[in-house]
Amino acid sequence: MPVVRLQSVDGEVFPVDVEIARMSFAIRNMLDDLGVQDNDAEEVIPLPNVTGPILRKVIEWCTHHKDDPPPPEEDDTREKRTDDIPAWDQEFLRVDQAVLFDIILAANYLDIKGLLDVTCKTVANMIKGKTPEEIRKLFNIKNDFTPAEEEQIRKENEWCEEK
Amino acid sequence: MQEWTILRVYGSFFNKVKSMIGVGSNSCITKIMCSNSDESMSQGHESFCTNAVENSGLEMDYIIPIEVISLEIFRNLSLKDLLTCSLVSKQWNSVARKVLYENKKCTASLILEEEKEKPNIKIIDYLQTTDQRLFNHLVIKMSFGNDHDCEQGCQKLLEKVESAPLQHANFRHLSLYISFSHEEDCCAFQVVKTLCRMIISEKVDHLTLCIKSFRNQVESCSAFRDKNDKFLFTNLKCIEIFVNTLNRHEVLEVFFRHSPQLQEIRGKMEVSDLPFLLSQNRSYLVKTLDLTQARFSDLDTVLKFAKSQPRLKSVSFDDNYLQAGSKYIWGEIFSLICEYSKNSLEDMLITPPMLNILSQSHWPGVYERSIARVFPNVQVFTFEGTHNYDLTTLFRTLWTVWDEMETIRLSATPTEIVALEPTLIGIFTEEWDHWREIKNNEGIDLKKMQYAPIRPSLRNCSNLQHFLVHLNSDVSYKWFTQGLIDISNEIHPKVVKLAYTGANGSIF
Repeated sequence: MPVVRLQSVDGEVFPVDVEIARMSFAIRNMLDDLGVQDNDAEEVIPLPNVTGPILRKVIEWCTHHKDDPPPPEEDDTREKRTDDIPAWDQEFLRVDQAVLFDIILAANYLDIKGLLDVTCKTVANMIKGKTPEEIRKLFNIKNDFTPAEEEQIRKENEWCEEK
Repeated sequence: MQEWTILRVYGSFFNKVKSMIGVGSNSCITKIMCSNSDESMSQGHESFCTNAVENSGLEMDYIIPIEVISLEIFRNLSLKDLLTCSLVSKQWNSVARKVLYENKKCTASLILEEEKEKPNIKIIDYLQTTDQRLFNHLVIKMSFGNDHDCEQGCQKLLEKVESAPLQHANFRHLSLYISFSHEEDCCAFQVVKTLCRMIISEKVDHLTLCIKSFRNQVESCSAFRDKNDKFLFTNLKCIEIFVNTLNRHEVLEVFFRHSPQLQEIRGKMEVSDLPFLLSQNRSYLVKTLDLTQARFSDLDTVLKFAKSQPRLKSVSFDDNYLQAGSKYIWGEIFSLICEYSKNSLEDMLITPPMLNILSQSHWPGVYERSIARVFPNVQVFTFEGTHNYDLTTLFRTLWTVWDEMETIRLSATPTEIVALEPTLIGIFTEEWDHWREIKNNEGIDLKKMQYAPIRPSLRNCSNLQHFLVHLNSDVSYKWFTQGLIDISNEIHPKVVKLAYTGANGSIF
């Protein structure tokens, strides 16, 4: 199996099967655009936005999911189901919030749709059913509304909820 | 030096790579260029490390402004959760509002009745003054009751509407419930007319019209014209009309003339609509068609329609046609419609005679195995079996391809359903036989047992919300003890509402 070397921002080099690396559309496009042949084993691809520990997680995820069928084209407007996260992924994503956000950023930057999808679903599940105050507490967010502004939004939301 | 070469030869690609990588792209290029030069390498390296330190300890506030990510997170949320998110902070408010406006239906409703005047005025006031984009759907409902007095009510609302332009005038969907039995100068009707002129009518791409009591065609359309008699809604893509058949064609004709981009008539069309639509060359707008009322004299029209390459989302078809005298023509009609609509069908009802027709028109047996591949976008699938029909071949392919399925309705006999069990849970028949033997011979209750699926099973349909079973039999639910599983536990127990209805309509 041909291998590419991915280099994290802190200089760590990860040899990865080309097929697994190509799950990232950013890397796939880069390999295609640069005309890199499969047997160019010495190629090092620098990833200036991903740290070693995060890159290791991302590669772990891609390796586990390498045989997944390509995700279907979806209708963006429909609300998605979030209770279908596979058990392996749930376990894999049992990490600190900061690490989870780092993985999201990496998935976005490397353009790995499946990983972005499952991590964002995980965050959405953290938000679901909570009150605004609980959400603020969970993510350490400061309430920067004045009472009047908050009241105004409440009122607008009431109209929205009416059918 | 190898990387230098790449840079020179493929230099022209770098802009592309740069745009692809986005933030930090310059560093990336520096790195490629300098990876063999120790000095710049270490320099570049340092800046990366700083970056890395900043990145750890990430907070929500850092990732939520990134549009791709926030959209990806928020589109998993319901309207209610999004409204809650809008109250968290200013930043969350702007993100949640954007997702709401673009992806959910946020409705502002005006109900033109006397006692609703106050809330109506509040909403108009909001639309006149806000700088937010909150609503994408405006509903204006005139009272349909006979007791509406044109002299009364809505006077203040009309004054309010006329007092200032709307700041929030951008709606994608407009729903009007109009009655023309009022006097021409009825305030409620004036409110409808004035608002239609005030919103940015070119932005409306979906119009829902519910019209009661026509007097004549000219009158019916006065609400859709500006002061200079110019037609307002010229960019409609979808129109939804609830009017009696006679007037429906008059109204549709007006929209056909003025809204050239129409792509769809929402709502069910009937056989009686087809001659009109064919004469207007607009049969392609039909998405939902009910053919169950078709008579012998309609055959030519329906055949003509079927040949016009319709792209239907749903078609109601009576399979008795396939056994009657004109069965060959009906067979041709059915297979033509299915052929042209294979990529658009979302709601599909199929019976063994229909499967038979599809197989005959192509090659024998192929539809049983490949129906899901031929019609890839079906979300609601209804199968009405006949006695002793082997469902397994048909259903086994469903889970593999139709994993977007939302509703499955299955009408079959208890024998057929029990025979379908191994396919539902994705195990081989031999294994199923084995478990059944254990159950029957040793009396062990296997209801709570988890069967590890070997092949695709019903669980693959992760969007499935309903799995409805209609039993073609009067035997009771107890009969199911012959099977292995309790289907309702097999599939997302929280979401799937499973209903067993007997032939007499009783629900077990």
